[in-house]
Amino acid sequence: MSNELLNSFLDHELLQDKYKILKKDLPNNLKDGLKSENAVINSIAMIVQTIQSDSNITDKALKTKLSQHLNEYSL
Amino acid sequence: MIIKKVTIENFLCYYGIKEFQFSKGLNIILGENGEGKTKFFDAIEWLLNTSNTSNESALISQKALSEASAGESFQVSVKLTCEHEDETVYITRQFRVSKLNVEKSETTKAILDGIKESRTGERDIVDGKQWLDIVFPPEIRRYSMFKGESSLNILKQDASLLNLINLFSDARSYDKYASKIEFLREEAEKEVSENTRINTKKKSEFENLEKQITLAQLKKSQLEEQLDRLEQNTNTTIDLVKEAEKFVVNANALESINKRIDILVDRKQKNDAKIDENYTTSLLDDFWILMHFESIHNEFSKKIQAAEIAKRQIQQEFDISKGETKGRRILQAKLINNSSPLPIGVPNKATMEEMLNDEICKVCNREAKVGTEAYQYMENNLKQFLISLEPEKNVEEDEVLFKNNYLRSLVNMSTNHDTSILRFRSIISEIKEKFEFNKSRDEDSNRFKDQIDNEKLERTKILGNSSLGEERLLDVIKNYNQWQTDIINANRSKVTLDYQYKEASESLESKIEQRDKIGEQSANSYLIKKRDLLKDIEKIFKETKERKFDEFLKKLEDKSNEILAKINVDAFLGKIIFIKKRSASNHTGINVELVQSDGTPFISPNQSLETSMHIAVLFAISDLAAGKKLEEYPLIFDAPTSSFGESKTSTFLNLLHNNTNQKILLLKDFIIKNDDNKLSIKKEFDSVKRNKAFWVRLERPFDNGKLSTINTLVSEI
Amino acid sequence: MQNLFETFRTKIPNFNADYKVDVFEKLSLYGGGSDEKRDSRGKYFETGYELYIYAFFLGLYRNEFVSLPEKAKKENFRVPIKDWGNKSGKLLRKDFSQIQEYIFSALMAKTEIDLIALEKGEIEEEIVIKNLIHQFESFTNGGLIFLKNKYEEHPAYFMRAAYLLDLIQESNKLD
Repeated sequence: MSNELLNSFLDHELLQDKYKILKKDLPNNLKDGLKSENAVINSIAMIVQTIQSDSNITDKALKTKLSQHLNEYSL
Repeated sequence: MIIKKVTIENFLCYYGIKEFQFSKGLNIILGENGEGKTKFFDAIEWLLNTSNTSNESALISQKALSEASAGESFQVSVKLTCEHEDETVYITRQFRVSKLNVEKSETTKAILDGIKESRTGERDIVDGKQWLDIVFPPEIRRYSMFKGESSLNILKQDASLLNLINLFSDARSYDKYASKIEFLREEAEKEVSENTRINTKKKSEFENLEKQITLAQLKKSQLEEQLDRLEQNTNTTIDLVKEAEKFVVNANALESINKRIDILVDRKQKNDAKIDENYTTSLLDDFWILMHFESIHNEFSKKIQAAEIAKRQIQQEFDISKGETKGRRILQAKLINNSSPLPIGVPNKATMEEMLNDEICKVCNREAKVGTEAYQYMENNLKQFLISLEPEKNVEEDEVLFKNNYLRSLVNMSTNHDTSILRFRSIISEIKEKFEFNKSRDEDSNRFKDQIDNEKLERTKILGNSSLGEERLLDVIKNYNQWQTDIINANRSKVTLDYQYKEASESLESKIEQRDKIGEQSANSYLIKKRDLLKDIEKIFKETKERKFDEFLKKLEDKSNEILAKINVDAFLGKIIFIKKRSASNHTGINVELVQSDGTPFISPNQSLETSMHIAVLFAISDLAAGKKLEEYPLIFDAPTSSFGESKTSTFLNLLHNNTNQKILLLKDFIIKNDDNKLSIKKEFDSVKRNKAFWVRLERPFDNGKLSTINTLVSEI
Repeated sequence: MQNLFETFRTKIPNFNADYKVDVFEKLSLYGGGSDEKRDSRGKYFETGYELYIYAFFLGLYRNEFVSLPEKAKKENFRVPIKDWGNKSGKLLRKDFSQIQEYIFSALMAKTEIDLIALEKGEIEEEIVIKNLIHQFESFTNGGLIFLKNKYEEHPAYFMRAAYLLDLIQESNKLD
């Protein structure tokens, strides 16, 4: 399920158009997604993982997690 | 969730405990009208509609009540046995009845019980209502139970369809992501704003812009609302017009029939007014009473004439006797046959002179040459007449024979009547004519009446065909034109509003751009990057969600058409289309419509076609949901195919059998009455593929007037 | 000029009072008449003397000559013959005063009168008139009796608009 979600998000042409990532270079699972160097990809992966593991997570908690994540990856 | 068993106890026509064991796939319950089919549906509804307060006493099986003795009590209940996520859940709605005496009984209030049983057999008592909502959620229930064919058109309301799709499509999952990212992005925007405000040198400009942005956003959403409302109203009007269009044809026809009827009624009235049956009055006013008078007049005139002649004769004899002594009088010559001569002066002087001149009697066309007897006679008469004109000289007092002269006026009357009598001869034919005239008018009147009746019959047909009454039909035609105008006006308003909206959006955008520019110059670059990132992710999430929804919609459309084609093996060459509408304020609406093969809408499909469409959509949805391994739910239909006819129903049922979703169908087809009034199942039903089939029928003998004889028997086929 | 007719029409003929209720009130609007009768004007005679005329012709055509019994109580309409048939005031009716002449001529035909004697002055005009009136009353009486019997037999027939007309038409067959 998570992989499916990830893949459908990454399908979006924004990644090719704006970030110049080729389709073949896209990760197709959550693990690889988290490891990606691209901030969009790894952020999406993180969000998917978070929400899938805890679907009732509050907005605030998600925000905090995101901030943490972004700090780690130093935008 | 699937329903494994339905147990009905002493509920309405179900006396005692009656069970239905269901399986996955297609379950069919056959039953003649009025023998328990719909009561089955009602039982389940009673169980599920926990919100409505039930009138318990109306639900008791009368047979149970009459068989119970005073002091005895029994239970009325409906129990649903469901399989849900590896567990069995029993939901029971029940109450108790205590019979006090023949006339009085008491009932307890109905309560909802729940029992949960795990795979291992462990049982727990649970909250009935709570678990009912768990195993069979209310928003799903709404789209799972359909009573009667027309209830299927719930899908016509676009909110329902949207709900249904949202329930079963996987676009649901994406909802969460879309809303969460929106929140995150907004938060990031706020952070940038705050940061800018703190750092910027163009503080006042920045704050000003922020204010303007808030105002612009407000204006924009106001316009969105207006557009929304306008669209809704327009759609309502368009729907009305579409509905009306069905009737406008009828209304036009109705108007022209009414006109024709008015003309005919007027003609009939005018015709009827001509009928004149004042026969009695005519007897006098038109002298009809004199129809037989001729002979009587003849009697009268003969009498008068006889008297007149006699008078002249007597006078003549008297004159003769007097004449011998007078000598002055020139005797009136006798006539050859001794009949009385004509009175003096008849013919008149001019006539006599003429005849003498021409030497011919012009009355009888005989010669009267000078010197002949005839000539002399005429000459004599003339002389007598001339003498009678001369004044008498020295006339002695003569003896007058006739003192009175009543006869003169009588003779005048007789002569006058001679002419008028001719008129009376035509009375009989006059009367005959009048009768014939009246008869013709009467026939015409009847003809008019027949024509009027025919038109009225036509009118009844039109009114019968349209489900509107006459008043409403004529209303329709009045409104129709108004609505068309309204639509035109609405479209004009929309153009204006659209323009305003565009302006507002652009203005907002530019303000945001300006603000962001300031932000870019002054805010922390990290925050800016974060915000931009989230903006991108938001775009991705939202558009993916939309795409997924559209994909589902397409799949739904294809699947629906696939199923529709199988149901409607005959005729209809068209398809179902789903139309997504996005309103200004981003509300999504979905319409499902039938179109013909060239894409033009299909106006007023018949009931059978509509039903096929709705069922196709419902089944397509549940098919797709099953494909996604989403939770399945049973579909319960009461008489969904009344308009189908039996053979189409068979095809339909075989089609349904194909997917494994649980369906419970209540049908009245496939049942026949034998010669001896016994019911039986038709052979054709053997070839209908199904997982389970039941037959409900009333125990015979029964009396519809005595409810205590009513007991529905359930047997598996 | 001496005119029997003019003298005749100054008179008022009588009828047997017995028939006032049995015939006149039933078959004409004389004496008021019910609402029902009023509504079917064409069927009935509007005035009593019209019915009198009708009864006369009925008796005349059918040769029903029945003198008024000596002891009978006599009634009349207080309208002299000369006024019979005058349109004056009646909207939907026509003037049929001409009928007076025909009544007179019929009576003249049917009454034994020595006209010669009258012309000679051997008999008085009054006597002749009296005879004529007697004939009038007798034929009418005959007609009224006939109507009364018919009514007692089949009162419903009189509801037909053409019934009174039919009675006259049928009287021809008796000749």
